[in-house]
Amino acid sequence: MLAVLRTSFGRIAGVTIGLLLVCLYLVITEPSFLTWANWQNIIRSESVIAVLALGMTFVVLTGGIDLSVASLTAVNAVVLGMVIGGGMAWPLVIIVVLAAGLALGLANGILIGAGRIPFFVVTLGTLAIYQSVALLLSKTGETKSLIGVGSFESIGDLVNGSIGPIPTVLVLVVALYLLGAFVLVFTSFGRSVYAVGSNPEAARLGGINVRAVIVTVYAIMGVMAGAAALLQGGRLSAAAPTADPNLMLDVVAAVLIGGVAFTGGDGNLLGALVGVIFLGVIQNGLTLSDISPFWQGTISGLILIIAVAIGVLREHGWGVGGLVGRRLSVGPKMTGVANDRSGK
Amino acid sequence: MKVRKRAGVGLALIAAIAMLGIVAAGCGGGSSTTDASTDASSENSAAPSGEGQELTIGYSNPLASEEGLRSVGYGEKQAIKELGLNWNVKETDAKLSPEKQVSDLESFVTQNVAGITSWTLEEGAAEGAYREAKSAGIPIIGLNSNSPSFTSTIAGDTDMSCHVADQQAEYIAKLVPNAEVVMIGGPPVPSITLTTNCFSKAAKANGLKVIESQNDMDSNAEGGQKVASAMLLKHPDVQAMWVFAETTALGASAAAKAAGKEIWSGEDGSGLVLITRNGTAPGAAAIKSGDLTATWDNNQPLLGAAAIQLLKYHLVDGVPLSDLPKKVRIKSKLWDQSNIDSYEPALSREVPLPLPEEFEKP
Repeated sequence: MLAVLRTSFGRIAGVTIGLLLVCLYLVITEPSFLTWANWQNIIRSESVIAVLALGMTFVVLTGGIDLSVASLTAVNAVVLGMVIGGGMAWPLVIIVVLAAGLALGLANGILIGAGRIPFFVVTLGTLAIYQSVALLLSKTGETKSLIGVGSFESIGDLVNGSIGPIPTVLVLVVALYLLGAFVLVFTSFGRSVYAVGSNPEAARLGGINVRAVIVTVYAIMGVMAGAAALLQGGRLSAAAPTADPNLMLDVVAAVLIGGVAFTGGDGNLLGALVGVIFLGVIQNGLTLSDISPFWQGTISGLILIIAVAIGVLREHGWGVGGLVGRRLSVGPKMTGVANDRSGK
Repeated sequence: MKVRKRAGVGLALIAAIAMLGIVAAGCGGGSSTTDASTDASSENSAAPSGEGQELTIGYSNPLASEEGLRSVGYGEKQAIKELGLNWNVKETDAKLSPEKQVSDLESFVTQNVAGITSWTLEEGAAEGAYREAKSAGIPIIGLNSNSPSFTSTIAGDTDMSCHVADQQAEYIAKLVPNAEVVMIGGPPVPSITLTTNCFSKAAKANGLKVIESQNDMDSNAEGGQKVASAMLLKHPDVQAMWVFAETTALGASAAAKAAGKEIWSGEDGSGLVLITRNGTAPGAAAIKSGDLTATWDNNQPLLGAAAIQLLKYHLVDGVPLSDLPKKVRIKSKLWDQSNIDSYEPALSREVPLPLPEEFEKP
C-alpha cells in the first residue's frame, strides 16, 4: 500500500512540494492569502479550468490534445445565452448546453477517430470554426448579460451558491473528478483509454475499438466544455462569444504540470487537479503581491519549471550522477515507448 | 489489480483535497466576501480621512502590455504624487480575459483596498464582482466603461462618445471634400462598436462616402496590414481610410505604401488620408515620418489622474460617494504634422492638476 502511495505521489511530488513552498511564502507575506474569502476566489476562478482539465486529461491520456477547447466553451456559452433568453427552464438549459458540447466534441472525435485526420489539424481547424460559430450565433459578437434574464437566476444561484461555507462549484468539481477517476480506473473504458495512449496498435490487436475510444474522449471533452460554459456563465452572469485567449494554454498546462504524459498512456486526474490548484495559487499569489505585470510571466514560468524539475530530480535521484545513472537504466524502456509510438 | 489499487489511492486523495477544503472553510479567517460588514450605506456617509493614511487603490488593467492602458496606471501614480497622498496603486493584468479580470476584482475585495479603478473588458461579465465590491463599501471608478455599481465613470472622448468620430469626419472632409472612405473597425466590444457607428454617421453627415467597412479582429499591425491590403486591392482609388486603433493603422499604413500609395501628410499633402486614434508613441513617430496623417490622443494618463482625484474627494475630503460627479469627460487631442513636434509620450508626460475643465468639484 505504501509503495502504491509512493508511486502515485512520485508523479506529482515536485508540483506538490512547489505548491507547498509557494503557499508558505504567501502565508508569510500576504495576510489575505489564507482567508477563506481568498480561497473561495481561487476555487471559483479555477473551476472552469478544473472542469476543462478533466476532459483534457482523457484526451491527453490517449495521446491527443484538444486545441479547440476555448472556442468550444465559447460556443456553449452562446448557446447558454440563447436558451436562457428563449425562456427555457433551468434543468433543460443545463441539458441543452451539455448536449451542445457533446455534439461539438463528437464532431471533433469523429473526424479524428473515424476520419483518421490528425488531432492537431482537426482541433486547430475547429478552434477557428467554433469561434466563428460563436460569433455568428451571438449575431452582434457582443457579450450578452444574463442578469435578470429567464431562468438564469437559478443557474447563477447554483454556481455562485454555497453549502455552508463550501462553494457549490467545489462540490461539483470534486464530484466530477471522483466520477472521472472512477471511470478511468474501474471501468474497461478507462483502461482502454490508457491502452490506446500507450500503444494504439497493441490496443487494437488486444481487441479494443481504438476509434470508439478516441471518439468518446473527445465527446467527454465536449461535455466538459458544456459544463465549463455553465460555470463560466453563472460566475460571470454573462455569455461571452469570444474565446478566452489564455484558456487553452492554462488547461493544457494544468494537465501537463499534473504529470499527465503528453505522449499518452500515463497520468491521472489527481495530478491534473493538483496542476489546476498549482496554477491557481500562483496566479492568485501574483495578483495579491505587488509585482509588476511585466515580471509576473517570468516569475510564474520559473516557479513552474522549478516545481517540475524538483519532481524530475526526485524521481531520478537528487544528484546529477543519480539523474544520469537513472536515465541510462531506463534507456531500453524509453526506446520501447518510442517504438510503440511509431507503430501508431 | 495494481492499477485498481493506485486508483483507489487517487480517489482517496481527491476526497482528501475536498476534506481539506472543508477544514479550511471551518478554520478560515471569516472575512467572507458575501457577508462583508460594510455595505453600500457608505454612499451617503463620509469616509475617514485618508490624507496621511497609507491606502491601496486597485487598478484593474485589461491588458498591461498595451501602452495606453498602462498609462492610466501611470496617471494614477502621478496624481498621487502631485496630490501629496501616501497611497499605493496595485495594478493587475487581466490579459484580455474577462474571467481573470473578475478574479482580480475579487482579489481587491479580499485585500480590502480603499478604492478600485477599472477598465472593464466585458461589462456584463464583471458586474457580479462590481456588486460584490460595492456591497463591501469600496468605491469603484469606471474607466471608459459603464456599470450601475460604479461610483463614477471617467469617460474619454475617443471611447465613450461620438465627439472624436465627428472631428475625424470633419477633418477628412476638410482635406478632401466628398472623399471616398474605407473603414477598418475592430473586435466587437462596446467602445469600438460605438466609435465605428459614430464615424459611419459622421461621415455621411459630412458628405463623405463610405465604400467599404471591415474589421481587424486581431487588433494588431499584422491584422491591419492584411485587411487594408485586401481593401486597397478592391478600391485602389480610395481617398481616405479610417482605422479604429493605432496598432491596426500602422499595419494599414504599411499596406498602403506596399500598394504604392502615398500617405497624406500636412495640410497641403496628397495621397491617402489615413486617420486613427490613441496617441501612442509609435503613432506619433508615424505622423512625424509621414506614415500616418493624424491621430486623436485618448489622454489616458488623465483618466487615471481623474479617478484618483475623485477618490481623494471621498477618502480624504470626506465627500459622500453620492455627491461625486457621475461622469467626468476627458477631452481628446488631435496630433498631426502641424503640432506633432510638441508630442510627449503618455508614459512620461506631466499630468496637469487641477483636472479637466469639465471636471467640477462637488
